[in-house]
Amino acid sequence: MIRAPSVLSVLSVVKKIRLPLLVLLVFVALCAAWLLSLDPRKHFTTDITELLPAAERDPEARLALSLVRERQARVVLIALDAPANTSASTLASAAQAFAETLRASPAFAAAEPLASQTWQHALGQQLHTHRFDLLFPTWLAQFPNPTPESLAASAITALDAHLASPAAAATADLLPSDPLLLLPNLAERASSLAPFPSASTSTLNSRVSALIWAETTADPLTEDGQQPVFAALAAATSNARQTIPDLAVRDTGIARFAAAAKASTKNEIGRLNLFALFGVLLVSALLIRRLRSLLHLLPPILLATLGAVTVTTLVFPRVHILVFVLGSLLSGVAVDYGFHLLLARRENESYRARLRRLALPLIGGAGTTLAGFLLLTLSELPLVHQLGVYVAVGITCGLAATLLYFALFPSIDLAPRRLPHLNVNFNLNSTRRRFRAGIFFALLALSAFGLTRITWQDDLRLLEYPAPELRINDAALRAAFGENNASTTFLTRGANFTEARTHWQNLANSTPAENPITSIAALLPAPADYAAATSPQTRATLAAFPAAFLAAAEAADFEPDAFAPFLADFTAYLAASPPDYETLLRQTTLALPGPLGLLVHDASDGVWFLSTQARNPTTPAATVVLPEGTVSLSGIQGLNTLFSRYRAAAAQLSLFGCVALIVIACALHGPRLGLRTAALPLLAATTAAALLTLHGEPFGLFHLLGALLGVCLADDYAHFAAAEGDTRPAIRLSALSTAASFAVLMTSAIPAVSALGATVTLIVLLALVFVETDLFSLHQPPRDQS
Amino acid sequence: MIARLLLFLALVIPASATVPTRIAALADLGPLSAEFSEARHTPLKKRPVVVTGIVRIDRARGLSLAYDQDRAPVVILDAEGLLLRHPDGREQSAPPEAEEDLRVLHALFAFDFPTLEKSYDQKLIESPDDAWTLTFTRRPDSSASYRKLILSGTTDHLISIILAKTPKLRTEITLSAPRLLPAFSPEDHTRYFR
Repeated sequence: MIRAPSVLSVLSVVKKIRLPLLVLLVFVALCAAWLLSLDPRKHFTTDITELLPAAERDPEARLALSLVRERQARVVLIALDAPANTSASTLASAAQAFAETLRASPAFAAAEPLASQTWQHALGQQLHTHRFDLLFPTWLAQFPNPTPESLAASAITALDAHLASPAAAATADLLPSDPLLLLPNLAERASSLAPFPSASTSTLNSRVSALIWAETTADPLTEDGQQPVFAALAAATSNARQTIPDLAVRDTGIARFAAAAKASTKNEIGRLNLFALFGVLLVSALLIRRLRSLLHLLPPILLATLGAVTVTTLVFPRVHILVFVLGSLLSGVAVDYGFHLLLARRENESYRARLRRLALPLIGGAGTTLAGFLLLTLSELPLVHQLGVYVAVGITCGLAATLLYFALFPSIDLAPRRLPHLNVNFNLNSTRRRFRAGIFFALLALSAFGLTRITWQDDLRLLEYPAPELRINDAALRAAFGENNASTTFLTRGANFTEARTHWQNLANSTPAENPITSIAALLPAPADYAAATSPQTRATLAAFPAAFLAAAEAADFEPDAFAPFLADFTAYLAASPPDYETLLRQTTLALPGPLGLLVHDASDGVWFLSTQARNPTTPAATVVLPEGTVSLSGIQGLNTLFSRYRAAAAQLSLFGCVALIVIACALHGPRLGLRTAALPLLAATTAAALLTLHGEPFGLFHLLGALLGVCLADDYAHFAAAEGDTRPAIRLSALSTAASFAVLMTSAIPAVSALGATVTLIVLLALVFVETDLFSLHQPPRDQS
Repeated sequence: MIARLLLFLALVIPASATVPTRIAALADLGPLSAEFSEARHTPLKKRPVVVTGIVRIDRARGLSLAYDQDRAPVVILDAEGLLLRHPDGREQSAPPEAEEDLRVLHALFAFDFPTLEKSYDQKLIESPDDAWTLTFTRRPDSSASYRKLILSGTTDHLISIILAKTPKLRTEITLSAPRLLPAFSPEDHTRYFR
């Protein structure tokens, strides 16, 4: 008789707790199974360009993104700095040894010492061999109705003029095989295609340098594109030092930046988490007596994160790692439900009764936060889109996990400390009411003034970990390789070579003669010129050209026998069938040596050519109307403009979120209390924005995201404050621990993270002050006290 | 082209153990200009192509060649290397394959005779009437493009320069007596030097 009730009561408890436990266990099992099945390399990315949509509709951004993923991103620039007394041949040997080591490594696809001119000579040889296929059509197109005699006369006149020019000394060996000056004329047009090193002295005083251009096999943003590359560079350095023991080696490339950013971010995440944990523990120790009970807050936070990661990876095939960094804010939101549930506990009140009492503030707080972040899922920007899903799911899971978890431990008591000096008498007399109204309107005025002075700064580089030394090294090396910022880059596209080359010709024709464009396309004949030069009619006319040329040469005092190499090659050219245009251009561009291969792209998605033009300071690039098929690439600036557009869209969504917040608050509490509840987070956010603006901080996307999070947290506090009884201990603990963890983010070296930390901290602290002072008269006395 | 310039630099050849002081003294002359005539012998033509112009030399800024032909670029050689300045304002630097010759030129310009002697053997012939001929013959292991450089002159000035790749491919330059100037005008500095 004594045992029966005990067993029954145990069974009853087991029955009671079975369902929540079962739900939580099934949830954990399903999430864990999904996450364990994922390949981290495929599902998670650190590539900054993936923060922008792959299907971006802006053509410039789309092309800029594709370029970042192209071969250009795999280029490594290397300088070997030797003591000044090193002979040129010794330095060349060291550079050759260095390049050969890189070429032997599977991490590198190519490596060319620029001083050896191997690839320039290879290009010259290639063009000379195919000069009649590639260059002769353009030469021939200058003459509208050619006859053998008129062509010969023009060729001889031009040759005579060339021999009298200063450039003739450099082409003396070439002219017997190229009296039409096909290559010398091309060299002048395309001289800036591959910039040559401007100086042979290094930035290290009294040292001489050799430059090496290399291309890695793997994407520099992946692990394969980093450590194996650095190992190969180290091996090459050792080999080159066998020739010159005092050799210093500098190199730059995206891999260096990516590896440095990864290492720095890893260190920083560890440091920030440690300090944040310390801050939260300190705040908790000051406000509650049973610190060990705080451990019970961890499971709901972990379950919220687990649910968020699972659903986000289910919805998106690739998730940027920044989503998780920024998504750590979820902990700050999810922990609030636990604080409120535990600190609002009353003796002798059942868990079910407590839930009924707290349902309104919990649903109100979670509902508005959920609505705000769900609106973010409408954003086009993958980062914002993914963050919206992540936090929205996390909040839902967090609230559900909190309710289920504490059903298993209904009697946990954090034992808050009483802080008598913070107690506020909520019974207001008219003087106090007027004083609070004055404070409210003063803050409103401050917000209005500050918001009118906001300046925006949208820069993708705010997301990067600063690496000033790498930047200086990179700038010095790029300058040594002849790269500069004084030119505009164009990208001309087409479905095939014929279309792309036609579009490029339109671009070339539209540029002023005094400031021509430079492109690899200049080496290739225009489709119309090629068709004309290879037509049967033209070929018939050209058959008589060799004889006419010899006669014209003889008449102009030339030695006809000197042109035997030209005549032999030209006769062979006429005898062979001309190659198909697409085939000729594909084979030519495929064989382009060294860095030149990066200036053209030929794949299943089409063909494009890169062109450059000296920047004209009087005509901004944005004002130039470009012909069809060509876009101007302004690099990071173009992407920043795009970033501005996304920030504006996120701001618009945030405004809708604010409207949703007001509507939900009014629906839950009625218009009067609802408006006061909604006013607290909004005034906290606008005042924080005003203070940051007056402090001189320009705003960006991450301030906006911080503000959105801050509003959601402050809204939670407002709903809790509007609940029955003294809820301030829960709000105080929640706000101070959140502020402590986000204040730590302010010390981050990544500007975006620092901006987020500053915004959230300020909003949360202001919201806490508003709650503690009951600025919005939200406090509802407990029923048993009223 | 590069090697032609080298010949003009012979005007500023400094004193050396093998070059008599009277010849080396030509290097100490101040800013000057001189007319020149350049005969280019090439296997392509039965007779040489002849061009004319004015050379300007400034010890601090280098030398500059202005040809009389229309649309010919001004050729500038200084411590930074070789530059062609076209009439339309375009500027063209020397290609990397000219590096070897430029190094020789720079050695001349910087009075670095040990570097010159790595590529060329020198031979001086003097006649009783103060005329002299200084011949630089390429060493077998040198990669310099010109086989032979021949300078000839008198105590007062340099008279001719011959630059030869082969017997049929060579340039012969004849110089008038130099005009010594106190200084070049600012306009001349802008136009003919960098």
